[in-house]
Amino acid sequence: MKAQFTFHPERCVGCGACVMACVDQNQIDVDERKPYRLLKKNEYVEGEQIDIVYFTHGCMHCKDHPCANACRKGCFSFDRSTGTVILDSENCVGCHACERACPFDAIQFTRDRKAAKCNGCIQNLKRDRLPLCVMACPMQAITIDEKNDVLEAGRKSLQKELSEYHRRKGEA
Amino acid sequence: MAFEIRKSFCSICSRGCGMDVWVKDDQVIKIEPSNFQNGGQICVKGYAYKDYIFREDRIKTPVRRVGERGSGQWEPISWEEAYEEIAGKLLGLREQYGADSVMFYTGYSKWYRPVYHRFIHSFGTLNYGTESSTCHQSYRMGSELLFGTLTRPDMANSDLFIGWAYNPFYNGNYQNLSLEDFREKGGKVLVIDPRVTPAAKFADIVLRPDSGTDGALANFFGNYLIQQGKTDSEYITAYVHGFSEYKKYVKKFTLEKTAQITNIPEKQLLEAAELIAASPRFSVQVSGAAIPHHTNGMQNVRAILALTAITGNFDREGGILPVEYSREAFNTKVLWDQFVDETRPLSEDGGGYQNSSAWHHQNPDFNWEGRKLCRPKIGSSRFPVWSEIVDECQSMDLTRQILEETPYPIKAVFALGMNRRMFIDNEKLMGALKKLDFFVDVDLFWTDAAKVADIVLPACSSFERSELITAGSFIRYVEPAIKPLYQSKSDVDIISELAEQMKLDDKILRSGYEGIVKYALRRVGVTLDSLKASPGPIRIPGKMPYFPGRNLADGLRTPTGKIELYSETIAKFKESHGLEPLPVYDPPLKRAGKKKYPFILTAGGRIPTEFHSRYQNVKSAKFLRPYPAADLNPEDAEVLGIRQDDPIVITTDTGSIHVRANLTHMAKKGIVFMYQSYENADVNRIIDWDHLDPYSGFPGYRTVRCSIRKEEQP
Repeated sequence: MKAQFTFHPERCVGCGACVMACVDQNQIDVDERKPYRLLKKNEYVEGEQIDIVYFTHGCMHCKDHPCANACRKGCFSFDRSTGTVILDSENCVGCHACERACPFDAIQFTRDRKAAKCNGCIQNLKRDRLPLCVMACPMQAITIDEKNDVLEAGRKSLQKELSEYHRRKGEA
Repeated sequence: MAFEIRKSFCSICSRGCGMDVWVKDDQVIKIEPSNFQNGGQICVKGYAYKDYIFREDRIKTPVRRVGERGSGQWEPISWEEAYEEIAGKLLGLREQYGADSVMFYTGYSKWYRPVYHRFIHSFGTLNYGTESSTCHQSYRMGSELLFGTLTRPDMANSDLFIGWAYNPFYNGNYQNLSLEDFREKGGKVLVIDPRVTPAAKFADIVLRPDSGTDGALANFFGNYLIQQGKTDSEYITAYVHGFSEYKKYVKKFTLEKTAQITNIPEKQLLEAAELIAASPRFSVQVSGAAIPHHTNGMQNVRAILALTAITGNFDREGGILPVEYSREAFNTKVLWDQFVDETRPLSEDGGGYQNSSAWHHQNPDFNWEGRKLCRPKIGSSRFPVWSEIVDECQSMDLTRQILEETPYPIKAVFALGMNRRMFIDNEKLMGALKKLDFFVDVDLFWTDAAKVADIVLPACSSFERSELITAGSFIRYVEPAIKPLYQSKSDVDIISELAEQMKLDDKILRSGYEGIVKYALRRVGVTLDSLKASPGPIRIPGKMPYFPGRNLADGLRTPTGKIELYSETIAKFKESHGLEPLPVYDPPLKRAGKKKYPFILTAGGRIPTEFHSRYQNVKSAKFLRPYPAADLNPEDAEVLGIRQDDPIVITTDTGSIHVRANLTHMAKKGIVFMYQSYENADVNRIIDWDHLDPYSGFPGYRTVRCSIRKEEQP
């Protein structure tokens, strides 16, 4: 199973199951670090019409991995069989270059100022099982192993929602 | 070193979703969905279940109070000492004041309730009260008064599905896909909710009535359908009681008047009414909490369900179907059927549940001879319709009865999971608990109520115990995934061991959980050993699929045997209590105070990460919503000068709470939504204790006048 993630905002209902599944699976202490998948929303209002778009974002394990390209300390590696982009932050100096390069806001810095991100639940992928966030989603809003056009369309709409989110946050 | 995956289930809500629990050295490492129940899905709460089990405030041992009530001074005691003291006190009070002087309460969960209920009957009282005094039972009342049964939507065969306060995305995830399949097949969806929830994404039409005006909206639809000749007159003649009175009554719900009451534009009202009129087969799902949680809630449930009566959509394919059937062969052979009746005492006034027509159907073999008599259960005189339909006392009258000691004094409360936050104006409840001679609380956690008890006993979670689970026509026995933490025990073990200590005249109850389960299984045709040996659920033998229309043909479990638009049960209390047999709409808000309190406070609307107050002190679950926040419409906020996350004060005529503002268009203008679970911002504390539905006794959590202001920073 390949770790090429995509996301379909029109399907997301904002329930947060994927976020908590990530916390549980990775035994994340939320005081120390954030979950590797985060939930946001944009509210669009046109007269009586209210459209609330929910989305969650995390590492998509991009084939062109701009994060790895930006890193000068060689923290990133790739698992060939699953296509997973792996981050080992032992040599991380906290320069934030990977964070700036990531189009999906998927890289965080933990309390010890080192980069951290999702590992695609590689332990599951290797056993041909789904990553937990994909398993947890009741709406199939997070998917993997899609055809290229579906994958790209999903990523595009997620990026659109993310930049809209940041634009509004900047205004506020 | 290796992990072991054990099959267990979640017990946060009552759905019991299956979980694969990864265990190492008897410790829970992580949780994954298991397909053994509810389609292999876990919600956000389920994924935080490990942290729930390991909450730092778990009660570790039985303790006895040594200081003043509420002083926090305890001494650990053994289970034997605890049982001895509890048995001595309860039996002593029974001797001196009668069995009814003890009130037995349970909060969540539900799995042990038949056993607990029987224990209470064996003790000799009908004072069995639960948190269902505020959840679901009012919906059951509405449905039973009309149809003599609970109902469920047959969505798959409908032209139109009406989701009234329907949001399956925050609860019960596994239902989601049926809604999507239904739409793909061309089914229409009408969602009615003042909040914009994710369900709105799947609706053809969304209506946003003001909180608690659902009855007026439903009666408008009824009137519209009658005016347009869209009723089923043959069906009405054959099966409906009180149609002409209903027809006359709903006439006053004109388009103009209904728009005014519900605060929905006329154009939208008409669009929705036309959609219903154009859909011969429609089903409706009514929330068991959101709709009943108003002082007019039970009647609003009836007004909504009445629409299926006048259009021939009850007990018809594609409409709503009964859940309790007229013939034994359709019913799942109920394990607990008659189990609670075997030791039931009778109410000395001859009233209450055993007087209702539904009960007589359920247990025609009931042996009336030699039964002990007891006083009418709590709430009987104040909420007589509740008392007759529901086989529980109305717990919302407990505080009053403890304080006022009428019609008789309550000396002790024995509780499994007493949660003050389910009660309105709950400072009064806390005062009442402190006044008792004796108060025992069994819980997993140190709740506020546990802190004022005399003896506190530690219960365990679903991972730490066995449970016999029935789902539809399947049955399963799940064994523990881990040993009970600390000295905790399962609720049933506690009940059974206490019954043994008290030497109650009930050998079955005293035989422990396995003994009780074997007894319950005796007529089912499945043995406990075969359940234990089976890797998956076993189908219950002998159950036949239900054919819609059977209940109607056999006669319904209502006094007239028909669908009662005019309820003969309510009619008995028309004179004495001023109750209305028709689904009459009363405004949900108190008349006075609009000027001082211009907003409507709607307390308790679900948010995904909470269930009652079970996720207090669980930091992972709090990550998604870190602090108590009220959902406020951004336009309202602008007028009040309130920005996102600003501290605000919500004030009612009972009190104030301090929370943050969460600005969202989910909230309708003029309505502020606040979840109820927070220790330091308990919204139910500021709802007047008289704000109750006279039919069901349910609190009007969701329609309370309030004011909102920005809190000035020091």
